[in-house]
Amino acid sequence: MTSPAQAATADTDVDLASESIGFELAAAELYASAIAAGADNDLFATIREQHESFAERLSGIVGVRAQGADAAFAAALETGFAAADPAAAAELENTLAAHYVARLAELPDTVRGQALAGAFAAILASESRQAVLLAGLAQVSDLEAVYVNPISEA
Amino acid sequence: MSVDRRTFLRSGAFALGAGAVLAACGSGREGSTDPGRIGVAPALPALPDDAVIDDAAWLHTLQGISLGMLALHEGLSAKGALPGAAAPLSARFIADHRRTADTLAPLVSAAGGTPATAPNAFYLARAIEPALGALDEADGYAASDDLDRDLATIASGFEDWVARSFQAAVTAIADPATRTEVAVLAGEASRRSAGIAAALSPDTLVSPVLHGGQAETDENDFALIYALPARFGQLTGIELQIGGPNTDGARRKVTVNTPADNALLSD
Repeated sequence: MTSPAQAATADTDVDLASESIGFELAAAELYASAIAAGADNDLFATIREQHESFAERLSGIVGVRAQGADAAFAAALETGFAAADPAAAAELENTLAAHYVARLAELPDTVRGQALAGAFAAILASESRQAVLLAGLAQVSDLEAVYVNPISEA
Repeated sequence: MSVDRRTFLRSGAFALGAGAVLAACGSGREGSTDPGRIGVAPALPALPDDAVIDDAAWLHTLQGISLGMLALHEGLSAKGALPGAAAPLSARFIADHRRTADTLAPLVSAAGGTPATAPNAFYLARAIEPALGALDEADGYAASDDLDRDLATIASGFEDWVARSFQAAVTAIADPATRTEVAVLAGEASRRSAGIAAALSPDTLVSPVLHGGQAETDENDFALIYALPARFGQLTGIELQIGGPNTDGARRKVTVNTPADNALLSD
């Protein structure tokens, strides 16, 4: 893992975007670690690219270069990803989706804040989809745990 | 071959003239004679001058969409069970749409609106009823020639539409606390869309779009179903091809769009 994400300015929306970029890059690194450990799974490779793209989109909106992955965010899931466990990947997607739900209410009502809200909502949609696919891969049979995010705060 | 501007304009004028001649051919296919109207689709309702699209309007519309999905699933059930692994999801999704409508009701009231008690009339008339109707023989089109395919197309297409509509609402809602509640529902809508797509088409989970390709269709031009259809959640409308062909081989198409003014101001 590389250094934690750092906010470039004191602006609320830039802080929120920087935090999210750090999380997304950490997620991409987790998938990369699973693939490097021998995970033979096209879905993992696709979702790794997804998280890189999410970070790029957020970075483009606030005009801040990504400062690196948030090591602390990823630490708890490293063991699961090292074993290419789809349940750990589903937990990661659920955590990220809950993160965007929580942060959407904190964005300022500005042009940039609205642009970030659109991006947060679009990423939330994709990560919710990814959580379902990974839950299927993990053979989760409890539909409540698949169709309602079991993580409510992040 | 190069075409100069004059020739291009002349050929365009020819195309318009030919279109008018073709449109006049046949019987029972006359378009509207109102100025500025093309085709036979019903006219959009006029927007009231004093209408306000606020949080209440959005929340009311989302509730009407959720209630509309109850009508859609009821209509699908009347035709048969969803194919394959999707069959057990119907009951779950019906309960989810009802719970979503119930969750939205107090939010509508708190925003100063009146909770919906019926499907959104705009979408019911322009999307849900036409989609279900396209399964039957009508207007020169044959009844469905592959009911499993058409039920899958409708179910997955409309769940995707709901996901897109709730995503659109997340940014439209102004009140921060309400935005959070709608974001939770938007995430759940995306989950249902992915889940039913994966159940209906487990061999095409990821769209080629994510790897620089194009979404694919089958030999009859029916769109393949993808659980992960794009890199980001989408807000654009969805065109669904449904039912059997007419004598020319064409099939009925129903477009479902995310909420705009006409839908937001509908009962």
